[in-house]
Amino acid sequence: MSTIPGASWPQRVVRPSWTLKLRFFVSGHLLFVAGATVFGIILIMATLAPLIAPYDPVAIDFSVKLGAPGPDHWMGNDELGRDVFSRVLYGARTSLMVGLMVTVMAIALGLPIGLLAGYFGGRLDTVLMRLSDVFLAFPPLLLPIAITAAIGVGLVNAMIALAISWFPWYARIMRGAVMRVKSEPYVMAARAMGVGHGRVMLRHALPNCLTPVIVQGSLDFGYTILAAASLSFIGIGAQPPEIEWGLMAAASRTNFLEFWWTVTFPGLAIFITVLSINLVGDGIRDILDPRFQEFR
Amino acid sequence: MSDVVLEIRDLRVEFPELGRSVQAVRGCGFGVRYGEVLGLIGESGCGKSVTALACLGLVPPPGRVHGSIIVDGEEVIGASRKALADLRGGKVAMIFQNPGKALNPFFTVGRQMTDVIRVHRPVDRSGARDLAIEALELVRLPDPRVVLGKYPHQLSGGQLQRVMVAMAVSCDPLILIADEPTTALDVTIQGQIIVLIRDLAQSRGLTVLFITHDQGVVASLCDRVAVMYAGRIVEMGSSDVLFNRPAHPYTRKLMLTAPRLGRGKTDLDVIPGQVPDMRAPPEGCAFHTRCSHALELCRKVSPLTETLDGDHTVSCHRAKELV
Amino acid sequence: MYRYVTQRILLLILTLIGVVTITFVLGRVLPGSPVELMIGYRPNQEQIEAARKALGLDLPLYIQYLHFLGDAIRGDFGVSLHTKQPVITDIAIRSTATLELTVLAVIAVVLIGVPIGVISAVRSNTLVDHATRSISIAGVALPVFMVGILLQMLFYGDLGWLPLQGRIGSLVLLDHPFEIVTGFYLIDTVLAGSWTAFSSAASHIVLPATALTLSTLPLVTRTTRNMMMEVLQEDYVRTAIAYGLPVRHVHYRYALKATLIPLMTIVGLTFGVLLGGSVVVEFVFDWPGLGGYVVRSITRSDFPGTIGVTLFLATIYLSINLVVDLLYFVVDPRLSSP
Repeated sequence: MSTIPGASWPQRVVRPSWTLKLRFFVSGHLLFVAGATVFGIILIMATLAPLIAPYDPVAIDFSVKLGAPGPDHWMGNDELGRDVFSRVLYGARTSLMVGLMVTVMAIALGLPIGLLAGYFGGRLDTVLMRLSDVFLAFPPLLLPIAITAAIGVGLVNAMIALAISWFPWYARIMRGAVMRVKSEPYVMAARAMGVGHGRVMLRHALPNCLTPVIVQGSLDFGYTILAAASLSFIGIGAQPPEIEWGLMAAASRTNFLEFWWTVTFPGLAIFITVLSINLVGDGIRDILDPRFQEFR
Repeated sequence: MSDVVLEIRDLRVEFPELGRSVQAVRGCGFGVRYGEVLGLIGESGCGKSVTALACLGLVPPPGRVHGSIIVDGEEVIGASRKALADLRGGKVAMIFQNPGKALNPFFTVGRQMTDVIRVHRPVDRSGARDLAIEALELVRLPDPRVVLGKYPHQLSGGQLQRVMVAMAVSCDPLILIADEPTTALDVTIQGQIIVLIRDLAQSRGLTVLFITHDQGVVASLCDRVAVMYAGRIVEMGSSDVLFNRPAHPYTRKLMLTAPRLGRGKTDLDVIPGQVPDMRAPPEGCAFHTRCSHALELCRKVSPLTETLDGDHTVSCHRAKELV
Repeated sequence: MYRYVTQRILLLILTLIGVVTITFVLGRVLPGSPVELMIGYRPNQEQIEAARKALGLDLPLYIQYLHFLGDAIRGDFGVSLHTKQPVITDIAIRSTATLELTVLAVIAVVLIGVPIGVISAVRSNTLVDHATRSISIAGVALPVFMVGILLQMLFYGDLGWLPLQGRIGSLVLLDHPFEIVTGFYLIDTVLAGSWTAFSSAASHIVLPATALTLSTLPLVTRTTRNMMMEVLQEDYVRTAIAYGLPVRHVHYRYALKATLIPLMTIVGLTFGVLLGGSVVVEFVFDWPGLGGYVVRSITRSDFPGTIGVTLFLATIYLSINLVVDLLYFVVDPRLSSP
């Protein structure tokens, strides 16, 4: 037994228990975990708003008009005597829905364009990308404003407008990712084996491009909520009697100096929601795409 | 030992990560004698470059450095900012792997050279310019005055590496550390740069620590060779001895793989298995996972460094019986 | 160099035509056509026909498009329905208010955000860095209008230091009239030598400009930090330090110059964000600029006004980005001396 064949020794592998793994994960992604927790709570509160809300969010009660926060009305009442807390809860539903819908619509619009441009390249690529670049030529927020002006004010229209002005980013990301994947040997092999364009794109190119799209989507989710709130605030997004945080803040514009709660709580709600979403987005980016890691 | 100008003793460098840390260098030690050209060879990731960076106190954060590195009688590890500033470029100059990236693209070659010269020598801008021209002539770049006015992107890779060598020698350092300076260059240019470094070493009595994974370069350039594996020196000796009578199984495998200029990287693949994961390096002799002579002993006990004859040292339990 | 410049300018023109096209499509093809907006409530058939003819809507679509394009190039965006003036006149009156605000904000953002970002990168993972990054992350989550409202609550409501809204005190304007030369009140009042008018204008612009600045500061700080971090990883930074150059010199001269190019791009983009944000900020502070005008145009279904302002701001934004592109030549030797 003088020689032992080489390369046969197993490497020493330490297998940490799952609790240990979880601890490492939490300690390494502290902000992500915090953001996800807060976001989870907001999500639950939005879902259960009809059960949690102490009052009907649209019930007008002039006896408590502009009432200060107190034991009965934690966040006070607005100029029509409506309970601010209940309205903030219901507003969460609107904002989360808006954020989700706009992001989904923008992705649904951007992905196919980027996919086609990146996969086929050439003139189609040039035309598609130049076209979507034009949408980026407007100062942000101005294009959604103009689109809303054309198709009419309202929450749904504002959502459509935001999606239209947002899709080029996804088209760009998708295009870049597809171009990278396209030159990968396994995609070329699939083409060489006679697999059709559509199948190659769906089976090989698309799944490999999802990471950057998910990362961008999670980061844009919060931004969209902000933009939608701003549109509602200036009066071209949500319209009464819809319950929306930006609209709530706008409604109290005339009296916010005396009755601070009418504007502060919806504002705070936007802040906490978007902050938690951004922390989650940053975390997702760090986890999925460690190249851009900021936190160590 | 007064002729030793650079001495490294029990150098350890680790990069903390979550849970476990990467042990890039794990007790590396060797000395470089005045005026010699020492080759440091090993596979990518064995800790050569980190060792070189440690000599200048340049291990990037969050790396932690322990042990001792003595340059010209002064300790580098834990040295003051001022001492480090004198050391860097003044006593020890370094040239890097990728000359295209090692110079700042936004400043002219002349500006960058004179900036460096003025840090280390008491000259004004025009004096520094003269010294820079002198250095460029030394590395045999034609039209040094023109080169000074050029931006890095206007020069070729070979020219840039000559500029780097010129910058290195312009402050008259004791030691030149060359970290794979030819890897990124064409084969023909590689030869020119190696000849240049060899001539400079001879004509100016420059001490050179030449890091490479290309045994061919070592054969044509180095007086002595240190072989590094998994963060340690496994064998060291004159290049003659190491090429003809290697004692360590790793060195033997390394030398077996066609020693020809410019064909370093691919040949190393001949050695079976992979470089060990430095987060959990193997116990005992780190090479036992890939060694065809490994014993039970090799898996458990780390071999000590023994002297075979004269300069020739090796860390292997079976070195004597296998020679 | 000439090729690059002409290429850029051609691209700008193409993009502008694209922008005009998008606005044309918005105006003519989508529902809510300008006819009913223009002639108002319950028109009869003849009125509709007359209006269509007046607007040129009876012509084929491509002719309409060419008319629209020609008008846009000449700066003729039609007559505003709520001010009854040519839109271009309205824009001329109001644009300087918006530009004064955004230019001031851009200067503030760059002067504050860039140094903070650089310091944060150079001292990464220190207390300074953690603090700036935390504030940045939080700052991004605050909507622009909330920043404005909070500023009003604090500096007008609680402290009473600064005026709530407007561009200049109306009484001040009556007592100390000054000639409009540049359209920037801060400059015009100085030219007129009226200290009272200047201090009134200055105290009015502080809050809206601060709101705009704060809303884009996190973006600039964060991108500057990330870019600087990237540059600090570069081989040439390591080379400079390996040759004993003072670390300060390496960071603030060698590295900063490399950050300059992406930085200029960021400043260009920031200008866009500020132009967009100014719509909201002007609304909050009742600032007599294009933002308030465009909001009023939309809520009063004044389509020419909306389109005119949109085209105007898009053109400014594109021109700024063109200037940024051209400035690359000054900074990047790889472009200027190939």
